[in-house]
Amino acid sequence: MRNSFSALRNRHLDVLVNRNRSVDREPSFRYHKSMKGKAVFVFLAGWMIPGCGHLLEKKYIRAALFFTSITVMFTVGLLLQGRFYEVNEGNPLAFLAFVGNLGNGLLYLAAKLFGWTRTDFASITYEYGTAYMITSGLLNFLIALNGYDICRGRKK
Amino acid sequence: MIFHSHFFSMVFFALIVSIVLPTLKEESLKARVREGIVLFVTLVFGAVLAGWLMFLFR
Repeated sequence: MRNSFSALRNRHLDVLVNRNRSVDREPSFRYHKSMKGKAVFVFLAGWMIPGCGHLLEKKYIRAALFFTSITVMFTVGLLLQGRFYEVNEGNPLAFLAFVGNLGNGLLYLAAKLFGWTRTDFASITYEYGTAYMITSGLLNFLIALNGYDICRGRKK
Repeated sequence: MIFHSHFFSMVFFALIVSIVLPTLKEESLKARVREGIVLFVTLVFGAVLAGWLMFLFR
């Protein structure tokens, strides 16, 4: 009697353990391990050109929305005479602001190369312009990471 | 130079952020619109409220 109870308990425990294992083996999202290289490319494309990562993933409406939003935000920041931070300003916060600026990808590089920067410290809109450009860069990082996640199957 | 009004600059900033962030975060269109409106109202009224609080301690 005692042995049969023990066997029943062990079988019940096995069922529970195996059920948990099967849950672990089947995540709720499809995780594509083989897509890592493509996902990195999608991230880099999305970083360089806002919304390009979503375009590669055939999310056309989102790609257009992100491209328009980030480009308009960056352009407004330029027109508001915001500041472009440099990498070696000696201030850790300025370095973080530089990273934020760098998030704009090709927009940032084009503005530096073609001299679109119109930084004016005396302008009343200078602070707003700086905030616009840093925020557009940080948002673009999030957008590029979202494209990466979509490519890996973590998000729809 | 554009946006001479600081308030309009802030509203435009809140508008763009309220478009991008819910689109990234939410899955359905309805949830995106709802979260976008909530975020926009929070950003604008939060900034106005913070402005008045700073005015009290000038």
